[in-house]
Formats: sequence, structure tokens, C-alpha cells
Amino acid sequence: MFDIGTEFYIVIGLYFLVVVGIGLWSGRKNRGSEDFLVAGRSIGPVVGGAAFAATQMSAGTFVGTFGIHYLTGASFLWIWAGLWMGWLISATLVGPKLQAFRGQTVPDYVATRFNSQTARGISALLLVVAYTVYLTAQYQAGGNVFQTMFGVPLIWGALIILGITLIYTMVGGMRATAYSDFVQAIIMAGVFFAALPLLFGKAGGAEFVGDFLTELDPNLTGWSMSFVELAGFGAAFGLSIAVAPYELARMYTLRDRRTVKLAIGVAFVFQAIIGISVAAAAMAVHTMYPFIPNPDIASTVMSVDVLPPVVGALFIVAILAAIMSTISGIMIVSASAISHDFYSTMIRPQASDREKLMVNRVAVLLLAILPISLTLQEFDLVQFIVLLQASLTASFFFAAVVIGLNWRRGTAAGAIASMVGGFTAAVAWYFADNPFGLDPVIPGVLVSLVLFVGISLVTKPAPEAALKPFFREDHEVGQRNDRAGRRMEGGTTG
Amino acid sequence: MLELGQTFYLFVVYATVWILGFFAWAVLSERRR
Repeated sequence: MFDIGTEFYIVIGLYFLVVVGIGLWSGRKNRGSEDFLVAGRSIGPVVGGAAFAATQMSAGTFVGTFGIHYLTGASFLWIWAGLWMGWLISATLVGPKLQAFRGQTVPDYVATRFNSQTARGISALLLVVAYTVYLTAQYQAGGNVFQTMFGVPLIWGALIILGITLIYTMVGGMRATAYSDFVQAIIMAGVFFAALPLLFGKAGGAEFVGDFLTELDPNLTGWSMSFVELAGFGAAFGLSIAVAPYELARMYTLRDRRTVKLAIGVAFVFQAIIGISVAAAAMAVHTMYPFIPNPDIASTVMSVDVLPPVVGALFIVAILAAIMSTISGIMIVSASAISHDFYSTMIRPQASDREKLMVNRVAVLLLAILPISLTLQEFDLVQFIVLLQASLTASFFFAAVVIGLNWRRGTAAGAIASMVGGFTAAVAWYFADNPFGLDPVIPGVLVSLVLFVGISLVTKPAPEAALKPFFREDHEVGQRNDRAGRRMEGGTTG
Repeated sequence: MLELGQTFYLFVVYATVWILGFFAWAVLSERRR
């Protein structure tokens, strides 16, 4: 436990009040389940981009990544290049088409595109299981922050984080999630504008930091990690983020396809500011404290021992913000699989909009509470899902989403085979101890691609009605060509 | 930035070019539609 001042409690308390206020404000604006799940498709590029960035970053960015930069220096920054390739796939091949489809959940896309309620059920089930269990990792991370900072038991810290996030997510739905993400991204990026000058001032200036670290170990300012290592990490992150369901669901909330592209650009700005600042701050802390035994506490040491109390408290708030934005994004995606894909679509299609809205809120509540008991357990299966969540969901969805949205010939059988096969390949790779040091997502995605194309080619194509929402341009171009052809025929024959 | 080493500086340049290039593509690709 660190010796902390009253400022920490005041700043953290104010932050909690702001996000709960956003939840209440959003709740008053929500008129039905479409408002709750996709924020009335009203989100613009700045809020949408900030939400993309905030959801993607979790405690890992401010604790784990900070620790890696503390330990290895600048070169780990280059994993962002791989991650951004994933976002580029999303901006070119996925996001605009999903936005134009105007669905409510990711399984909505799967069911419509492949004309298969079985595919909807399988994908919704995976989302509920993987994401509900993954929440335990975020609760633990939040609990750890409170335990380290204030000395409260882990479970109480986890309950505080869960309680606040649950209030604004359950009341305000996706609108509250998006606007609180916006505030959280501003805090995450903004804290560095105050912290970096103070840090480098105390560390003796950027030139001293560079010289000191180079003297300590030239790799800290050069290349601690090889190109192959960075490319491996980058590819794993990039493939995972291109089809991460908590980011795909955000596409439906945006106003139009232009907003999708601009929002991803805004997300790059937030990610670049935060990523570069985390690396610089960790290098400054390394100069002041060269021998911290556990790199994971480097960022906490910075916030409590180096920065003035208010800025230090803001940094802790930034960590909490990163955790809460991820929890909220995950809660709403897994709850919508229960309420929309299972209840409203498969069990009670005749449910009124008011009933659907209530079921959405109950699902958020249930799926938020369920992982609490898991947070205190050390089940092997829980640890496995937490560790592999991003790889498993990417192996599951990559072919069905990226190729399915851009290749008319993809079929339901191909999609189901690719989802199940990609998932199984990723699990098998993990249990074979990740041969060649490759993350399971790489073989998982490759297997899903091969199965999707192979099985689709030997099965009956999806009906035209199922393809129309996703290949509207082809359809319109086809119609235009048909009309032009008819006119020409008319001209030559008439 | 340059003081923190070439690896760090190169990434800052890369990120700037990437973001500017991306926005240029985003705006032009929609204008062409």
C-alpha cells in the first residue's frame, strides 16, 4: 500500500460522479432497444474514435505495456504498426459495410449474411462464454489497483469498479458506454500532457534520459526486440483487433460510412498519443528508478512517488478509465447476445420494444454479476479463456467477417466450419505449446480462411436476398449496367 | 524526441505519416463516391 493523500480520493470520486452522470443522461435519451444497443446510430467521428481507442486499451496498456517499456525500452512501440494494420483492414473491408448493414449485434450480421440461425446461435454462444469469463480479468485488474493504492481487499476494489460501470452501462446502454469512453480516452491521453513535462523535468531532461539509458544498455534506446518478435506480436494484435466483436459492435453506432473511416482515424490519434507517451514515461521512470524488481508496478511508482498528487491521481484515474471502458464495452456486447440474439430473435420475436429494453438491462446485470465468483477462483478454464480471449474470438470470426463481407460466394456451411475450425485450431496450437513461438491467432485465422473458402466452394451459395444488404454496391452497379445495356440494345435495335 | 533514440524517433515519424495518410485516404475515398 502506498502513502496517498486526500487529492487521490477527491479526483477518483469526481471521475466516478462524471461517468455515473453520463449514464443517467444517456438513460433519459434512450427510447427503445435500438437506442440501448446502438445509441440510436447517432455517434459522430470524435466520440466514436475515442470510444474505439478507449475500448481497445485496458489495464494492460497502463500497467503491462508500461512495464514492458520500462524493461525493454523504445522498440516495443512498433507493435502499434501491426495493430494499425488490423484497424486498416477494419476501415477498408469491414467497418463501412457493417455500418451500412445497420444491424444491432455481431451475430445479427452472421445470421443475415449466411442466412442461418444456427450460425447466429453458435456465434452468440461463443461471445457470451468468452466475454463473460474475460470480465474476470478486468475485475481483477481493477481490484489490484485499489488493493495496491488503498490497501482494500481485492474483491472490494473489484466490486467498486463493477458497481460504477454497471450503473452507467445498465442505465445508459451503448450511448453511455460511448460517451463515457470519450471522457475516458480524453483522461488517458490528457494526463500525459501534464505528466510528461513534470517527469522529464525530474528525470533531468530528455537528453539525459536518452544518454543514461544508452549507457545502461544500448538496446533500451535501440532494438531490444527483433523484427520477427515485433512482427509476431503485431500480427497477433492486428488480426485480433480487425474483428474484435466489442469494436465491430461500435460500427453500428456510427452515423454513416464516412464517420466510420474518420472515427478510425481519430482512434489512431488517441492511440499514438497514449502509446508514445507510455513509452516515454516508462523510459523516464527507468532513469529515475533503474532497478524496480517488478516492472508491473513501474507506473504505480510513477504516479505515487514521482508525480504531484493531483497528476498522480489523474494517472490512477486513467488506469481505472482504461479498465472500465473495456468492462463496459464487453458487458454490452455479451448482454446483447443474450437479449437480442437469443431472447428477442430466437425465443420471443413478438416481444415489445419496452420488454426488449428491460431484458437488455437484466442481461447486463446478470452477465456483470456472474463473473464475480470467478474473480476469486483460480479455475484453469477461467485462466485459459482470459489468456486466449482475443486469439479465440479472432480465430472464430476472422474469415466469416472479413471474407464474408467481401466475397459473395461464402456460404453458411463455410462460415460454420471456419468458426468452429479456426477456434479449434487456436486451442490445439495453444495446447501444443505454441510451436515456432507463434500466437494461436495466426494458425487459427489461417485454418478458418482455408475452411471458409474450401467449404464455401463446394456448397450451395447463399440466396441473393441474404447477400443484398452487404453487396448493395455490386447490386446497384449491376442494375446500372443492366439499364445501360438495355438502353444500348434499344438504341441499336430500335 | 530525438534524444530518446532513433527507434523512438522513427516511430513518432511513422505514426505521424500513417495518421496523415489515413485521413487523406478517408476523405478522398468518400469524396470519390
